[in-house]
Order: sequence, then C-alpha cells, then structure tokens
Amino acid sequence: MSENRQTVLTIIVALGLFWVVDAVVDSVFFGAGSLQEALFHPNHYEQYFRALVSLLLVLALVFGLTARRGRSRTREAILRQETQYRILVEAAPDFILIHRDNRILFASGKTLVFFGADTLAGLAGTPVESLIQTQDLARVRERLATVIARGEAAPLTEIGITLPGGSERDVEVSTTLIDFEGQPALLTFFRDISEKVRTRRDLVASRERLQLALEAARDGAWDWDIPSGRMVYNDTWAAMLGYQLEEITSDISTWQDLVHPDDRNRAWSLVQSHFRGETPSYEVEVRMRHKTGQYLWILDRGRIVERDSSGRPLRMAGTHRNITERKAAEVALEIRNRIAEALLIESGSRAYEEVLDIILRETGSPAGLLGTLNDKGDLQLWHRAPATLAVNACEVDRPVLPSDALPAALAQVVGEARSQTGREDLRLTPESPPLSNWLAVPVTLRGQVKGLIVVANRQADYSGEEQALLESLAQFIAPILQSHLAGESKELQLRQAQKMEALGALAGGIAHDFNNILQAIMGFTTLAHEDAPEGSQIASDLERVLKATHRGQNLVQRILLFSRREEQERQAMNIVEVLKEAVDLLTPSLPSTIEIRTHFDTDLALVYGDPSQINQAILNLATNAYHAMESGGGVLSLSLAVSAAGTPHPDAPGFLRNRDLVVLEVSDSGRGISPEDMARLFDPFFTTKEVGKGTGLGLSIVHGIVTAHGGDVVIRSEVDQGTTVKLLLPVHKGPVKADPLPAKPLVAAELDEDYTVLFVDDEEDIVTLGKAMLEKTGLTVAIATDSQVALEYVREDPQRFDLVVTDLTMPRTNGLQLAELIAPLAPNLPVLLITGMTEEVVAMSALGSGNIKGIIRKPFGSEALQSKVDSILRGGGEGRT
Amino acid sequence: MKRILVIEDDGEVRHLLQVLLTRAGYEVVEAEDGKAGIHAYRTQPCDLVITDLIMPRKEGLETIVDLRREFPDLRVIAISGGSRAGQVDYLNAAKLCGASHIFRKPFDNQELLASVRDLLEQDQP
Repeated sequence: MSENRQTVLTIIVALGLFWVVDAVVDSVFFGAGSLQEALFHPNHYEQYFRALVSLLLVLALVFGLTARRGRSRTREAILRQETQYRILVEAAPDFILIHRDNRILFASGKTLVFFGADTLAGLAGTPVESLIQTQDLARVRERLATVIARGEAAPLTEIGITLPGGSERDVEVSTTLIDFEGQPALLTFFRDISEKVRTRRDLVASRERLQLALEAARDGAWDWDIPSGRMVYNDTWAAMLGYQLEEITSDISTWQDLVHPDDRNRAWSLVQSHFRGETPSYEVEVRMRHKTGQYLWILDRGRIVERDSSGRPLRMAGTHRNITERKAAEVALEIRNRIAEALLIESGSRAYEEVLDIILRETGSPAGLLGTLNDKGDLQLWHRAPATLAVNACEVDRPVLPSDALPAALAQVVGEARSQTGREDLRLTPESPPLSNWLAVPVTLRGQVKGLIVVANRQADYSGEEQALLESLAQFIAPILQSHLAGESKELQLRQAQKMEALGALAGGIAHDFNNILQAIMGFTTLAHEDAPEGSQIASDLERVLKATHRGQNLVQRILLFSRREEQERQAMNIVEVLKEAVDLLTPSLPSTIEIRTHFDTDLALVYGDPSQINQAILNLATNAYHAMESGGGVLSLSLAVSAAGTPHPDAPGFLRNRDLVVLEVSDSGRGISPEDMARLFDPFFTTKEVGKGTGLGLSIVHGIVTAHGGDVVIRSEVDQGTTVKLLLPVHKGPVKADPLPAKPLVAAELDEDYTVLFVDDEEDIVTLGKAMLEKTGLTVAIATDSQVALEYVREDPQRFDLVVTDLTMPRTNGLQLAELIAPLAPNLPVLLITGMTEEVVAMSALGSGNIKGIIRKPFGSEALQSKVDSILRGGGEGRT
Repeated sequence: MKRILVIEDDGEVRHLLQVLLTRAGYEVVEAEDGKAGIHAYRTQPCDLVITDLIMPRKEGLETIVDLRREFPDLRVIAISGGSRAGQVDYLNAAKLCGASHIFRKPFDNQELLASVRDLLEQDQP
C-alpha cells in the first residue's frame, strides 16, 4: 500500500518537473531573447502561471511525502504498543475499568462481557456509582477521593456491585490514579469473589443454623403474623407453660395474658423499638404465668423476618427459653448478699428486722417472723414484733414465745426439722391476728433446729421454689443466729476475716516497699565498705549499718510470712513429730522457773501441710506463754488429742464439724488476757508486750498458718488464771505406710483415683491441655468450653465433681460468676480459678470468701496445676479421702 | 564488653545495680518498667536481663514471658521484694516463666554478681 503511494507520488513529481521545464524552455527558446524577457513577456503569462502552479504542486507533494513517512513510523510504534497493551489488558485475570468524574471511559473486553455490554460504546459514559451497592457507596467515594487527593493507590477492599442486568456480585477492588488521554483518570482493577464470599457466608450461616437447631430442641417457638395478630406457637412453647397446644388460642393475646403484668410494658416497648429498626433483634427476660399459677422466668427472643415495601413489619418469629433456674440462683445470690450486707451494717435487732424485711419483700408476704430457739424450746424473736403479729398488746423489743405457747404446726416444723406450708390459721397469742397461708422453714445448724423463719398471709400459695429459696437463706443465716445464741458478736466474726485480709495485703505492700529501701541501704553500704580502708573506723561503722540492715531484713521476713499465703511445700506429716521437735527446741531456751509438761494422746496424727509453718506456729504460741509467765514462772503444757468426726469437738466451727480433727493445745498458767484485749488478739501489730518483746505479729501468723491449713484457732483465757490456745486441724486421711513413722515427714501420696475434676475454659486448646495434665495424675476429667454448659453439668449432678477448675475470663459468664452460680447448687464443691497476669487483683478479692479455694496463673506448668489441684482436693474435699 | 539490661522501677535499686555491674566491668542499660525494658532490648540486644517483678505498667513476669517469646535464648535474673498481692510467690513463678536465677530483696551484692558471672560465662566456648 505504501509502495503504491510512493509510485503515484513519483509520477506526480515527475509531471510537475516536466511542466516547469516545459515552461522554462518555452520562454527561453520560443518567445523571448532572454529568460528575463521570457519570464516577463505578456504572451508568456499563461505559461508562467502554469509553471508556478506546477512548482507549488511539486513542493507540496515533496513536503507531504516526507511528513507522511514520519507519521507512518510513529503510527507503527503506537500500533505495536497498543497491541501489547491490549494483550496485557485482555490477558489480565482481573477486570479493568478506567473512569473519570464518575463516568466510565474504558473497559477491557473481559470487563465488557462481565457487564453484559457488546461494545465499549455500550458501557462508556455509564456512572460508576450506579454499579455500586448502596451500603458500600460512601466507603467507595471516600476511597476514590483519597486516591485523587493523595495520588496513592487504594489497597484491596471488598464491595458489592450490581450489574446493569440487575444481578449482584461481590468484588475485590483496587484503584490507582493514572494519566489517560492527557488527563488524570482512575484505573480500577477488580475481581469477582462472589463464590468465595458465598462460601464464607454459608459457613457462618450453617454454624448459626446448627446453633439454632441445638437450642431449638429445648426452646419454644413462636411465629407472629403482625397485621392479623395471629400467632403460631409450637408444642414446646405451650408445654413450657404447662399447656397442651390445643388449650391455647393462636393469637398474640395469649402471650399478653400470660406475661406478668409488671413485665408486659417493658417487653412491649422492646418489641416496638425493634419494629422501628432501633434494635437488630428483640430480647427480653420476662416472667410468664404457668398453668399452675406460678411464674416462670422466660428468655423471649425474636426478630422481624418480613416487612412490606414501606418497611412496616409483617412477620416476626422467635423463641422462648425457660431460665427460671438460672434466675432463681441469681435471685438467691442477690438476696444473700443483701442479707449479709444488712447483718454487717445494722446492729442488734435492727439487723434482724432488716433481714426479715428482705425476706418478706422477696416473697411478697405481708407478715412473718424470724427467731431462735433456746434449750427449752422458747422462740426468741430477734426483731420487734410487727403490729400485725403483736405478741402482747403493746410492742416489746425482742418478744419471747414460750415453748408451750408455740402453735402446734410450728412445733411440728421444729420437731421434724422440715419445712411446711399450711392454710389453717395460726395464732401466736389469743389476741394477735392470725397467720393464714403460711410457709415455715426451720433454721438448722449441725442437724439441730436453732431457729424458725415464717412468711405468711399472702394470697397466692407458696411454691416449691420459694420454699427452696427460703431454705437456702435459712442455711445461710444459721451460723449467724447461732453465734447470737452463744452471745458472740456477729460483727467480730464476719469482720475478722476481712480485717485479716486487708491488713495482710497492707503488710505485704509495706514489706515490698521496705525491701526496696533495705536493698538500697544494704547494697550501697556493701559498696562503700569495699572502698573503706580495712580496719578503719569507717569500715567498722559501715559494718554496724549492715548488721542493722540484716535485722530489718529479718523483721520484714516475719511480716511477709504473715501476709504471704502462697502454697508452701505441703506434705502429709506426723504432727506429733513436729510437736516433739518444737519441745526439743524450747526446753533449753526457757528458764527453769517454767515447767514444760507434754501429753500426747497418740503417736501418730497426720496433717497435710507445711511442717516448718506448723513448727513456727507452735513456737510463737510457746513464746507468748513464756512471756505471760515470765515474772512468776509457771507451767507450760503442750498436749495433742484427736477428736473424731462422730463426736464433734465443742469448739469446732461449722466447717470443721464433720471432720476428724487434731487438737493441739498450748496452755500457760500466766496472767491471762483481759476481755477487751481478747477482741483484738489476732490483729496484726496488736501487742500488750513491752517495746522490744513483741511485734504484734505472733498470733496473726499463727492464725494465718492454721487457716491456710484449713483449721481454726480457739483461745480461752481468764485474767490471772492462764490462757489456753487450741489449734484445730483437719486430720489427713491419705494412705499411711504401715512401718514406724520416719522422723522426716511423709512424701505426698498419689491421689486417689475416684476424684473427678471439671475443667472449664473457652479456649479448646487450654481445655485439652488441662485435661491431659490432670489425667496424668489419675484424675477423671470432664471438660466444658462454655461456662453455661459447665453450670448445666453441675446442676444435673451436684455430687459428680470434686473440683471445678475454671478460667476467669470467658464470654457471657466469667469464672467468678460461674463460681457464684455453682455455690448454691453444690455448696461443698471447691473452685480453682485460672487467671491471667493482670486479672489477678480481681481474682484476689474472691479468694478466701466462698468456694474459690485457689488461683493459678496463666501460663501454668503441669506441675503447678497438679500440685494446686492436689492440695485443694486434699485440703478441701470434705468427707472424701 | 557484656551488656546487661536492668529493669527496675525503684530508682535507688536501679542505681545500685548500675553502679555494682559497671564496677564489675559490664555495660548497663537501664529501664524503669517492663515496657521500657522490652523497647530497650529490641533496640539494643543484651547478654543478660535483670528484672524486678512488681512494677507499674508492665510487671516482671509478663515482661519475662514476652521477652523470651521474642528472644528464646534470653537469660534472665529475677529479683523481688515480696508479693504485694499475697497469694502468689512471684519469684517461683518467675522461675516457671524462665528466669535462670531468682533473688529476694535485699540481696547480697556478691551473690548477685556471682550469678551474673555464672550466666554470662555460659557464653564462653
């Protein structure tokens, strides 16, 4: 093609040249004498004109030819490049769009096919935003604005688009700023990931469905056609409330009728706010009336499944779950807390009035009473008699009902130690108004009825659940009523533990800071001492500083011993041997004015614990005894006896009543303890000794050690008669070797195999690990990765487990809450809490109160876990060996 | 010269360690809590870390665990003045977390130096 053009051009050029030459020849040879004449001769104008045109034509042609050649070369290069780009663009795995100002300028062939366009013209000019789904539009705008403003490529993101045909796709896009036809434009690559997203969604959906299916098995279901008010309930829904499906009307009014009137408005307003789209779903805990008349707690959940075109809800579906038991446990716990609070804050009869008030309010009872029974069976009311129950005509403080005046029904409750309800009228005195429709619950301690709680005069009958609640409250307040009977101050008992805890923490804190101070003094003094000339005065002075520092160090160690309660090296030991060792130590150090007498009932009494700590406790007590007799001398007796579980030791507190106990007594015939000092005996830093003789930590340390061994300290003293301190320690029942006891303590024996531990953590790996670690020691281990499931296990069979090991941080119900919920279900089931480093403070606050018997930090080693579990099972597994 | 990172929140004790170790011929890098300690170690790896356990912001056990996760061969000496919260023996826990030696405060200068030498000599062929 270009060759043909060249030929044509050559011909034209040749013609042009011919015409020029012709003109020149004409003019020169045929008309004029000279070229000048020929050029300007009028007869030659025509020829001249012809020549000029020819010349111009030739020039134009030559110029045109040259230019055309250059252009053709550029064009070829572009074509080559274009072909390359086209190959790239079309071969690229991604779709490609170039757009500017929201208009499409270019799309790769593949992209055109994707959008269903035949040619670029079919797609060019289409607004980009018309393709993007509404929910992603704002985000995309923002991204594009950033790309334009910063000139940086926007990273990959996922958005939803709608194709011109209407179908929806998920794509992954990235956009960058380019120059297109001389102006900035946006180049967008995208990839269809609809399949991937669908798979992902399906996976989530199938998980949710599975969850729903699992839950649905025990949930009731409802489906509500909102405009008509028709409601479809299923069998479970009806059965949960005691009905057959046929018995209830398929209408929203059924629900409205059965919801507790006090909960109806709250539930309804939550439905309304879900209607308005303010909440993603509807969820509420309401009381619903069972066919029997009692109320159940129901977790009612639902979601709108259909709306009309204007957004009005058409259909809503949901489930009912019976959460009565959980609620009951929560309520019981809450009431117990309030009662404990009332007993701590209020004093005297006001405290019991408050407790009775709480019980009356919780049961919705207009009348009731709370009292203790003395040995003769007289009922002593610990509150002022309310007007309705006036025992005498006038109100008296703490009225007493003589045993023979106790109504027969109440006497029966006391006699049989069993709760009872009744409809017949009970009159406390002939004048007092009757108690009708009553529930009477005995308050029992160590199998003996110590008191009575009665609620009465309510319209509705008292349910089994309410009876159970009252019984658990009776159990809770039993020890407190008992201490009142014994004339002990409840404040002393309840606050002692807290006081020790707080002071322990304080002492620990002081010790820590003090050690830093000592460290600086000791360290720098040593450095200075090294620099001081040997034998110089400075060196000798610095040695004194060091000596004093060591004394300070010893003191701090004692404070730490008091405050530290970490697990020591625990083992089964023969406490008789420990006691003998202590006596050997004491004998040479006491003056001859003090006679030491020992009396051991047995040669073998096993206690599980730390021998050095027990030794320390004995020495502390002996030192106190010595100080009490220092002026006039006297007798220091150390004795040891074993008290069998069958005949409880008279001094044993509730938690030791069913245990075999070792009773270790240290008595002196010294000056005794005054009643006012008695109350402060265990306070750290409390001392009656002169300066230099005591730190006020001795008894605190004894108390700390004995409590850590699961025991208790009892002190009896009379001024000028002497003091007896009894340490009550639970007997260890591990396997014992038949051969004579070695002088050294026994090595901890393997755990018995019939212990079962429940291990709870929301992380599966940790559960697996914990199970493996514990099974190695021969324990049976059940696992749960959900605290609710764990709670279910305990509820199903409260006797099944001997220990619950649980993580603190878990979704929904955390470890502490789990422990609290377990407590009422299985009061003797101990809990070991696993904590992270930063949660420890939270966990600390839980220790020592309730059922949490230990804390282990993450990450824990196998040995640490085993030894913790081991020590709890040995120390706290009541009734088990 | 061997470099030792000292993590300790108590200024006096930190200074003592700095003087003690410098005199013994070591280079000392100081940090006042675990967070600063980890940062210091990342910028300037050391042959040994001596760390207190009870510190504000980031306490010692966590620091040891985090450092050893990042630098598994790290050698650590833990020191502590006691257990503020009472229940856990932090020093024993530090051993479980990977501390090679532990010292209760107040420690003896020479005993600490001996244990530093002991740990650093393990590097010698």
